[in-house]
Amino acid sequence: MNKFSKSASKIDWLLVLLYLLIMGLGFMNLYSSDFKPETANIGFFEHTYGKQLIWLAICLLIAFFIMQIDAVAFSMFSYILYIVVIGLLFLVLIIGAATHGAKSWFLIGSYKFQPVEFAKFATSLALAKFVSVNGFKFVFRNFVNIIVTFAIVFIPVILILLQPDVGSALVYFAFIFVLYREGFPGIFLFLILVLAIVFVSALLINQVLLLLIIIGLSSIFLYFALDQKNRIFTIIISFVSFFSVLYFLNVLFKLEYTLLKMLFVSSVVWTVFLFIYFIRKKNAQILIVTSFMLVSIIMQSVTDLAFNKILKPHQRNRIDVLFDNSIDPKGIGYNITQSKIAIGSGGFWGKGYLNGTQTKLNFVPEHNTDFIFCTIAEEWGFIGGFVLFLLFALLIIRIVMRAERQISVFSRIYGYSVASIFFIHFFVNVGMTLGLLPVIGIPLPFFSYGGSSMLGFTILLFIFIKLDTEKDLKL
Amino acid sequence: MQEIKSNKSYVLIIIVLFVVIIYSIKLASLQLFNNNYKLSAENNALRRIIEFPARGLIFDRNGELLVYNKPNYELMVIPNQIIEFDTIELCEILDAPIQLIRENLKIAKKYSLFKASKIFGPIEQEKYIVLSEKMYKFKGFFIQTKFERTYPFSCAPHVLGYLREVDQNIVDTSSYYKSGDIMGFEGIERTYERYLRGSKGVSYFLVDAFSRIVESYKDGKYDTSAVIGSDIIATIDVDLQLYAEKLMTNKRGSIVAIEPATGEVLVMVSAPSYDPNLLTLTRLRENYATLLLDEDRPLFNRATGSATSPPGSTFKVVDALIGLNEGVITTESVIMCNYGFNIGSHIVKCHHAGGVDFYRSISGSCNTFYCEVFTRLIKNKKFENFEAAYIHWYEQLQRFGIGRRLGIDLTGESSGVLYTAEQFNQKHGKGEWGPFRIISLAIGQGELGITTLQLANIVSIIANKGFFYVPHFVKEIVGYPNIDSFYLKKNFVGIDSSFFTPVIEAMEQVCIFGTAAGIYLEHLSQCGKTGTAQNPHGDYNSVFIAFAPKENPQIAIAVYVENGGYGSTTAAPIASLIMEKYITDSLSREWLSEYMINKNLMERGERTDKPR
Repeated sequence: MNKFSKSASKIDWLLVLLYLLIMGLGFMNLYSSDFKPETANIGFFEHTYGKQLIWLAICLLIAFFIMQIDAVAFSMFSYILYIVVIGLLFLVLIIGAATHGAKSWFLIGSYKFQPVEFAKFATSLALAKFVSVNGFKFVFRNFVNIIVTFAIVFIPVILILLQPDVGSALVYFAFIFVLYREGFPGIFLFLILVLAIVFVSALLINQVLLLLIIIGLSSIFLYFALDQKNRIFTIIISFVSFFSVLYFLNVLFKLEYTLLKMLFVSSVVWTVFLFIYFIRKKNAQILIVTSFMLVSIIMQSVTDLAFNKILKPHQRNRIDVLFDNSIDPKGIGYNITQSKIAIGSGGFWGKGYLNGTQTKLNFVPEHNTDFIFCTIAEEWGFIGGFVLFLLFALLIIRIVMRAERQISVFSRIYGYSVASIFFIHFFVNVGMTLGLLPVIGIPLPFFSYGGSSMLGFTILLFIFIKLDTEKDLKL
Repeated sequence: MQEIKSNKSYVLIIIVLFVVIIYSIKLASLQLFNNNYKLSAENNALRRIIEFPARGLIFDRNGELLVYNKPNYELMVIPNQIIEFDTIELCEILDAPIQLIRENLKIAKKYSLFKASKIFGPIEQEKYIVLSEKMYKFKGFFIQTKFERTYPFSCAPHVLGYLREVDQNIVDTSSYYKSGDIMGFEGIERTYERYLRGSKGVSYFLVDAFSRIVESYKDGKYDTSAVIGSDIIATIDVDLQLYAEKLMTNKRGSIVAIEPATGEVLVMVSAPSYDPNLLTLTRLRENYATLLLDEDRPLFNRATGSATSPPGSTFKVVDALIGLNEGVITTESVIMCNYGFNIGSHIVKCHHAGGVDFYRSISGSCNTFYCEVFTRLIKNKKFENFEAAYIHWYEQLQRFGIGRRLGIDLTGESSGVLYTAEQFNQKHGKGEWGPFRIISLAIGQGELGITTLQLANIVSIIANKGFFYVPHFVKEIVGYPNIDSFYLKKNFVGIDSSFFTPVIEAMEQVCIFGTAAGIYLEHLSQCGKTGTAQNPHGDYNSVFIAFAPKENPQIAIAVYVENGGYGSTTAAPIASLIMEKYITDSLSREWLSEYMINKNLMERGERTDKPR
């Protein structure tokens, strides 16, 4: 066997196939999304799909080029790449071009270049390098290493937030999965998840209900965390007594506290009491749970207060619009309504290729970038949408499985990063389009229009495919 | 270590699968279990553009144009298309205050950035020409042309009617009208709305998110084109109508003239009247309330709506016909009139001494004669009691079109007043009433109200010797073979045609030497009957019914002038003038015409048509 066929036999052709399939479908879909019969006779390359086709060719070239690089090089140059990208992120804040109020582009000739898309694989490489060398033991004496690890992730996040590009910054949440895999305690993963849920619920659910849910869930956690005999008494009776005292005070002195206020005050007192009570017992788990309880109770009231009381309605709307990169011609909620209409009109089989009306006629804003999923769902119906879900799930799971098989820690961490980044993109983008998540501008890999994004994802994936061909890589 | 490793690897995979399941469920709920989105999508992308056809024109019987559509220009704006412009220049062209334009712009922006709003209008023709030359300077503005009804003769408002925006009630109950549509509200405009309006055209277009038209939907497969409204040829003779209206200046009352051979209404005047141009769409708002609140009620059609007008002595011709038909009198009958008719302790006064024969009873309008005729009718041995006789009489009157709606093609027709036996039972008690209680009916007073239209129809019956066509205002709907067959049917009144000859003879005598002596013209040979109805609000009401010529009648007319005095004083000369003008197309008595036109009766009494 010659060298090429030897390495070719090691390539995970399933991943490459998935990549080509997703990319091909992405192009077809973009073509449909922007195709209009009356402008068809204008030069092909004047259209978004024409430009995207050029990018597609460039991506394939780059992918082929990556496969020719020695895998060791990625490890060797990871820090340098990272520093270069950080530099670019700095530079874009100074000389970048602004669209929708965010300075995120370098304008080179008529081409736009978005450094954010390249920061993802650079960060992944640097993180993989650092963690593979230093390990990620979540213990006190490893303090400096932990700090550095977080710094590697947060420096680009801060720079991206300065643009500001909330969506792209959000992608870095992906690294939590990576760190979790490498030893970051699960409780933090859980904590972050719960806080996010509390934050979103505070905007959606009745506050009294939410507070009761928090108190109830906390009690259940406490119940399982404690092992003393009278734990039910300690947990429930203490809360009930605090609440009743407050209730009687309220009635007696006619304080006219609302139920919400009373619940809030008594639960804060309750958690503080539990915290002090268990600090003597030196039960670390309980301390974590109680402090977390306190945080979420305060968080829910603050979220609501901040959102509804301090901010005036128009400011609230502005925040909504800020989070949303698209123009908003018919008021808040227009995008998401139009997106749902487009998706809903697809039905089971869809309207057929090139037959979508909602996306083509610009009812869905950003229909070829952030809301590209609408075109798929409108033209290919439920079947098309479901197949797309499966393709992405397959891609991500395949990467995770291949990553697990790596002997090299560097390759494994990098693989995990790739899978997590794809997942966050898929999760946020489709979730937003379906109206399950707030509107946050973030592309759907290989589907959304944009050269930088496509190129970034190609590099991200192919570095892993390359690393995967040399499983016994010693780094 | 190995154990933890594999455990943790599953976490991400499980999360991925979990998300895919949740998203699939959501996708299914949007696409498979909710039809709202499909509908919204169609509403989103499809725009109905409605084309309003030109409304049909209305001509008079001689082809004179009575109603046409005049363009009315309005300046419209689509706020998001505005590019900076010189407000002052725009205001100078329009001759409009700058505040008004600014204010309207603000309102337009508030309404919609993408939809057109009216900024200024109506714009006069001269300003329109200047403005259309300069329109290139005002991006986002455009001139919209709306058509408005115009009445070149400013006459016959009650016949023609007017247009108005449909109200919510009509929008709710009709599948055709949408809010903001225009519809006829009175007169011919109302009755023949279906023909005049034509039908709206609908075109479907695909539009983008900014309501810009992208293309025709399915190549116009579902489009319907607008159909222009049909023109209508009315029965009105505009020259005669104008002259009749002129004669009624400064008078309250009404005139109806019918062509007996066809039932076509030649003239319908209700005075005081108003200029129909006051109620065009743009002027309706400012004028409607004023007209509605006017003490003289110009909007009210007295010719068809005045239910309580007593016909007075004109009614005697009907008495005579029924009397002859029932055999209670003959043309030979002579009845003694000693200045009155005694019934119980009551006397119906009259002015004849000695015997009055049939002809003189009409030409001299003898109260006694017809009280006797009426008494004989009610006491007729043929019937078991007064009530049965009355019912028979009532039915006979109904066939003359008295006490019921004739069914003309205008809205607001009154049935007049004619008591049923039941109503008299209620008023006086069953069996408690007889000829003496209701004797005033004999001379067209009391519980009797006949509209001018009904009176004209009665003359028509006489002229036709026994039948009538239901009076109508439309001669032809262009593009349709016939008008409603209801108006083409002969209605017989059930009186032998031979009885009409003596009545007509007597009616001619009325004009030659009778109560209306002096109006007779040899070449017209008018046959008429005067009436003088008591009016509690001032001078007598002057009533006159007539037709001419005696042989081959061309016109039947009823004139009712409130506070006009005796029938011969005002109504008879007016009727005579109108008939002469119609038949000879000239006036031999200019002095009489001038005199009648200048006669002012407005101060002679209060208005009688109090709102009921």
